[in-house]
Amino acid sequence: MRIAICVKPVPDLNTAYVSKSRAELVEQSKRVPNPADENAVAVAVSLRTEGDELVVFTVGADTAVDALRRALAMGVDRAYLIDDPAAQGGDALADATVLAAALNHAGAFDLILCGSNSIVANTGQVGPRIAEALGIPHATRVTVVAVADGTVAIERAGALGAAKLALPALLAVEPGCNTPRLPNAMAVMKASKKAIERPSVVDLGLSPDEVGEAGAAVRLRVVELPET
Amino acid sequence: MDFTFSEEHEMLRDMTRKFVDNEVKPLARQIDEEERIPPELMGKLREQGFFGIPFSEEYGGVGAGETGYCIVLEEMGRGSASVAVLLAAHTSIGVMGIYLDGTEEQKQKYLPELCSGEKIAAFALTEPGAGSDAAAIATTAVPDGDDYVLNGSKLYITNGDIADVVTVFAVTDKGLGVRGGITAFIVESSMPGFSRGPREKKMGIRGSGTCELFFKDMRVPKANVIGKIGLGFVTAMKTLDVGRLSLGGACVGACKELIDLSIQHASQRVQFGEPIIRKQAIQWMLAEMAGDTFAMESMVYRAAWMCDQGIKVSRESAIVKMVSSETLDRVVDKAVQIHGGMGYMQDYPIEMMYRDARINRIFEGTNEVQRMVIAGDLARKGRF
Repeated sequence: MRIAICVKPVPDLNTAYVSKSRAELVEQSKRVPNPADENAVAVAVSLRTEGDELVVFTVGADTAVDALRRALAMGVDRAYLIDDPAAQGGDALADATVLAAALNHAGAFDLILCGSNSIVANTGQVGPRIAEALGIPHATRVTVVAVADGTVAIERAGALGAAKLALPALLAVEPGCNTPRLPNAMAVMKASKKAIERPSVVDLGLSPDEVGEAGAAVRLRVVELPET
Repeated sequence: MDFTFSEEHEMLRDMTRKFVDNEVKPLARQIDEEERIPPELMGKLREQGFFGIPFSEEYGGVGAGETGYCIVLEEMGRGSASVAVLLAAHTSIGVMGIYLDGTEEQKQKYLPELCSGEKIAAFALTEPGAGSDAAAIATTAVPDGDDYVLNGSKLYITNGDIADVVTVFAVTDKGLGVRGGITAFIVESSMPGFSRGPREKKMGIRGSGTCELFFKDMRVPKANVIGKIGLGFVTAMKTLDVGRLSLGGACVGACKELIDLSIQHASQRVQFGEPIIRKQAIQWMLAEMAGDTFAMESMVYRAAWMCDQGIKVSRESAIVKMVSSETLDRVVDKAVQIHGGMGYMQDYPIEMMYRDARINRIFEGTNEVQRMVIAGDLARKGRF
């Protein structure tokens, strides 16, 4: 089975702070995987059987490498980083367009996993949009995953209940649905030697004006801090 | 010149820090009070690969080099000096002699189980009548057939209480002394004639076991000689040259933790209507702690980098050992002062860290011996 995981690099909230004068988040350390995406990686690693391949995908700047290495240390085999400047600054639509093209570019996957929501934009749209772009079924807020005979049985958070989907499918995983294991020192050292491919937007068969800031449907006009 | 840590070293630090925060720090006081490292924590340390950090992958190690090893001990030093000492005595000196001077057969036989932590190592040089004066050791090794027969005892052996494999130094030719008369042996605790004394009661690093080892007509196969007959003193010095560096790493971690705790306390403790961190007396102490720690950190990682480049670090590692241990003493003393009465109470980590710090000026060669090494090298070269 081939499993893909989409991971969003997000600011490390243990060290980042909000500058009141500039109304922006000031990052003080390297980016980390979005927590729910780390849960998605943990699901992928738990499903792995002999001969499976796990591949992680990220749209982001060069600073996203650390988030990818974390996923590689957890047991993912290789990574794709789309750090083409044209792909930066996108919204959920533009990022999903890039990720869907990257997934197609890397070959057919049986299962695609991602986090339900990011701690940054918190739209919860990227997963479903990727599935729509690929024309495969999807489910959100997934807490338990079991694969058997070409289908995936899932349980969902809250009162959403259980369901069964035909593979290939995309599952958006509920934050905190598992506790990702700390990789050991050997896995950490091996992760730094695993391959990270960096295809350009054109390599993925996309045109620069349908991705990144140009391809975004949402425009950020102004950011203001709440009065406290 | 590039002072950035590699991606893999950053990740190793990140992983170790999380491990220390989650698994070690919450147990630090318990480890001190119960005078042992809980078996569950030993298991987790093994799972994470902490027993083989600097050694190459071909022998089951992690392959993180001396820099990666110093990073791991720095993070361990933040959480528990006892745990840092367990790992350091095993890795830096217990295993290092076999790694540096052992034969290929010895490495294949011993290193995988030692790197995985399945077996624990110790280094046995000090004796009742020999410590700083290593040439005065009285343990003898006499050839007999395919074996050497060892008789004698070793004192204050860190990890001695649990070690399965011990690097033991014994006299093979009294007339030659350190110049060809001392040989290093790989001793297994299962060898008949090997026995341990009771665990010593100590001022600090109480979770780390220290005891006396006794050898009575203990037969050690000739195949267990490390390096060449008579060159044991060279192996001991090479091992200690590298081992001392990581001691600096653990001191860096302890100092950073002490500074963080001191900032935290000084920001919360209100006297004369304001947090004491606004008082110049406290600010100056914090500034000096930071300056001392920055200098030590720079020194430790420069020396570790030299070591990874294959540059000999004898004088440098002696300087690192001397400066780091004395820096930690100054920093921990100021931390107690900033904490006031709280720094003296066993309910807070400062009191334990104060007791734990003191050993660093003594073990792995006293600071007086480090000064002999540094001055000897200066005199020999006639320049800095």
